Amino acid sequence: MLLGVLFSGGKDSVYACRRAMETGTVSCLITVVSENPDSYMFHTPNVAWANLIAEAVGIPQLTWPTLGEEEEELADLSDAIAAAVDLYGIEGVVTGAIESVYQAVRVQRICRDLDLWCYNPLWQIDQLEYLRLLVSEGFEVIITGVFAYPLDEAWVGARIDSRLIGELEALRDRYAINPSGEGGEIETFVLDGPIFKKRIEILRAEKTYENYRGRFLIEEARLVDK
Amino acid sequence: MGKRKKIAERVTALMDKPDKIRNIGIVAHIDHGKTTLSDNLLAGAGMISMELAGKQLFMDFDPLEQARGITIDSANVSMVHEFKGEEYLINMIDTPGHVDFGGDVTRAMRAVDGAVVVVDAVEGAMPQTETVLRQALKENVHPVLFVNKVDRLLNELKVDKQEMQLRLGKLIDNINKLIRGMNEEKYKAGWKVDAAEGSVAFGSALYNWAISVPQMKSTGIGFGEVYDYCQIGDMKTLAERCPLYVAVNDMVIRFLPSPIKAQKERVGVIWHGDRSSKLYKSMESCDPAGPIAFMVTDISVDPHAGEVATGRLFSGTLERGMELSISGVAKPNRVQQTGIFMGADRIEVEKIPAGNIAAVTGLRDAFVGSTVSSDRDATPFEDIKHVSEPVVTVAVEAKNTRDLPKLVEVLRQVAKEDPTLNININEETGEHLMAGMGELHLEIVAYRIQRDKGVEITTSPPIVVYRESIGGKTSGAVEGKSPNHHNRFYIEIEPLLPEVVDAIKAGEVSMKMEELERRNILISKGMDKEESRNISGIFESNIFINMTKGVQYLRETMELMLEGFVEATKNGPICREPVQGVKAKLIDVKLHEDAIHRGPAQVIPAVRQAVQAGILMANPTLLEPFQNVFIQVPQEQMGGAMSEIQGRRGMILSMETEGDMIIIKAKAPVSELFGFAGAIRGATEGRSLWSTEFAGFEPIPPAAMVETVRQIRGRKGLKTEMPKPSDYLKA
Ligand SMILES: Nc1nc2c(ncn2[C@@H]2O[C@H](COP(=O)(O)OP(=O)(O)OP(=O)(O)O)[C@@H](O)[C@H]2O)c(=O)[nH]1
Ligand SMILES: [Mg+2]
Repeated sequence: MLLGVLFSGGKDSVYACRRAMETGTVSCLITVVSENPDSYMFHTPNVAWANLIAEAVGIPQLTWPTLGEEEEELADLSDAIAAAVDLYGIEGVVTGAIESVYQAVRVQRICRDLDLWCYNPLWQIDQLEYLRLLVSEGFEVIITGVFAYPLDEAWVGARIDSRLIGELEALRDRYAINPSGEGGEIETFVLDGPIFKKRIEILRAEKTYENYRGRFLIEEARLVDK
Repeated sequence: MGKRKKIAERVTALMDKPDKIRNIGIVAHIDHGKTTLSDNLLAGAGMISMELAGKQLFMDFDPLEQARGITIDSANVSMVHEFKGEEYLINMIDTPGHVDFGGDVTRAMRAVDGAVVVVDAVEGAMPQTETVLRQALKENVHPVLFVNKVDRLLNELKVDKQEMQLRLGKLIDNINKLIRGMNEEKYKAGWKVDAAEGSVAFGSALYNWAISVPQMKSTGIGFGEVYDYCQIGDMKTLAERCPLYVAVNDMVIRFLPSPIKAQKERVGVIWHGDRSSKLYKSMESCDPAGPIAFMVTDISVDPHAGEVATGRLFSGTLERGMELSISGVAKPNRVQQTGIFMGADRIEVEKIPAGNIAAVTGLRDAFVGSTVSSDRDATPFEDIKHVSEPVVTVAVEAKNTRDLPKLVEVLRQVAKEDPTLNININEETGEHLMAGMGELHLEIVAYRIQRDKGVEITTSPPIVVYRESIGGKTSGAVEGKSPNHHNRFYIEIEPLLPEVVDAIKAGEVSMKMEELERRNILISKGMDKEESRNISGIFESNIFINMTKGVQYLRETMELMLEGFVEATKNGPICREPVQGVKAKLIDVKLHEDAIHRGPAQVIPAVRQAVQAGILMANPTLLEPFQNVFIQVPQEQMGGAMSEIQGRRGMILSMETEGDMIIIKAKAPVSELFGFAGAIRGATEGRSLWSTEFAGFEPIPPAAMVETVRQIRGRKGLKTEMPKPSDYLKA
């Protein structure tokens, strides 16, 4: 089956892609680029660099712009998926949704309208186990955004490893933070992994942080041989 | 300990006869002779020897109390007295008189039904006399009067017979004036003290004698005889012919109510739940077969058994093995031991029925003020509100780095044992803050941390605690955004009316009362009707009001919003001092429909920051604590005392002459009163008697604001300039 993966460059879409590659053929990565910094659906920072990952894993990417206003961005997403059907003949859409009913329901509705299979390989996965899996399978994931109390500046740009997973577990217990960032607490970017033919090297980046909102903005990056 | 055991047996035999029980507190101004009087009652019950009564100070069992000559902690004792051929169980609490330990008195008043108010015949009613009386009346605790140190009138003031009677009469009048001023209704309903009836006794606790009008007939000793015996210095005969404990017992047993009688009136005052409930009926009738209703008034640590929760059992029968719910705690606790106190010792007894003061182990999650019940949904008792607030702070550090973790644990424990202590733990810097009632309070706590908990510490010189408040309101709502920007809260900040703040501080309004009752009180204090109806939370003297209507998901989010509000008011935006007198009105909310996008990590900071920014937009002010200072000084030394006050930004409120003494009443900021003890002694050649009492918070002079903020922030390691609203809203 030909599949299109909704793709932001964050860990969930990358890992969903890996799972999809085991189930069928991923024929394209669909990236919706939002102009709204607070988009409800689409993860924004660094999405401009998702093309590097597409290149690294060797799958074509389809990018689609949206103004990112609350419900209109869904129409744009629907258009993007329809385009993927036209261009790449996809029969199913893959998402990295884990627990966010908001996202899952909306994508499902679009798929139903377009008569496509909606595949959520990570749905309801245990979040901590999932993070450990990412690390043990060799994904190199950095935190490119934090949006939750009490995450501080030290999290911005940090690599997900077992120590950091331990801290997330404590924060989950104390502040109900979703360890994988499903509540919009954390955003990530993947630099390397088993499906990567090349890895990404960040040459320059800028950090910002204020009142529990922090970002790691990639300014210059390139692919290097592994 | 054969004797103790026997007494315990007699105590247990009386425990289930509530009409034979009296739960009493001994209260007074400092040094008026409470503990000395307690000794007399203990001797009367055969628990200490008559020879030592008045000198042993059995209830001051901590060596520190004996060394300093003051009571620091309330102490409980259960004893049996025979009166007119019948046995009575008297559960007595001896309370401290020093203002710094006043919290103990407030708490004891919840456990008892009656109070013996002790007044020094020479000094008369003093500021703390007034305070303890007020506390008793507020808790619906019935007073009787013991005029102590009558020997001093004769031996020191050398008054004659007539003058003695005059002075005593005036003293009683003063006490009744106080009662009347505090509660006219009660005064009329027979709460005044009356020598002819017998609710007043006169005597000398030190010399173990006392008389009361009804007793005069049987003892044949009246004022005249007392005068004569004192003249010839024969206190011994007096003590034999009219022993103190007999006169006091007569008063206690006849005038102070049994739990059966008391609970009928008291429960409605200290508990505001549903009056048609089983729990209420059972408490009202002091029913030992009803559900458990136990109010914790003290937590202490037993080296063997761990934490002991002492308090008053209003309903049910406590027994080991019971699973009980603690207010505000999800999991039940299991009762391990039940017992009673005999001063320093705790004696285990099998069960404790309603109407008694009980000491219970196993209630790990209980705090002072917790309601413990067999009914999971029991409405808790009203909080015990102490009139004073912690106003003095010291920084505490462990001397040895290896003690760092232990110190944190110890500080948490002392805070649990002493609810008037406010501990602020900073694990990052290791410098913890400890706020208390005064210099003495903190000195004692620090000493005990070293002596009892074995942690060597250093403490900084004391500084005062400030309050943050506002003089104006925000123009429109402040928007608080959650870190993920998917939730928005619109909050207006306004000052609460002073009448409302006072009512909260006095415990007249709380979230524990039924909504309608609360609403009516707030309206009567001048709050808007619509606002009064929508109270979501009251914290310290701040209120959060929900003015929105029909917002989806609001209910499930409210708790988190309140948490944000509490955080903002605990650590105010100006310099992280507590906030008072602030009203936050939630005007509108936008919530993400997906629950995981509006968890604590999103809602708490958003509300907190909106409130913090709002306070800074509403003409923020800093308040400092004040104390009333009462000084009794001979005419010649008056000048010295006055200049001590005036040199400390103090204000003289009144000056009265009494004989050749001047009584000065003044008010001064606490920050200026450090070291006052030494200074006034010097200024008056040691001839002044003085005491202080908490007098609330007042704005600091505006000119001092910037500098004070800079100092406080600097001390806390914050950046020193005054923060701006945008600092809390930036994102
Ligand atoms: N002359 C005289 N002295 C007394 C009498 N009763 C107590 N005292 C003395 O007054 C002092 C204070 O007595 P305490 O019994 O410790 O007073 P207290 O009220 O318990 O004091 P705190 O608990 O610290 O408030 C002691 O020195 C007693 O010996 C009395 O009847 N006559
Ligand atoms: Mg005492």
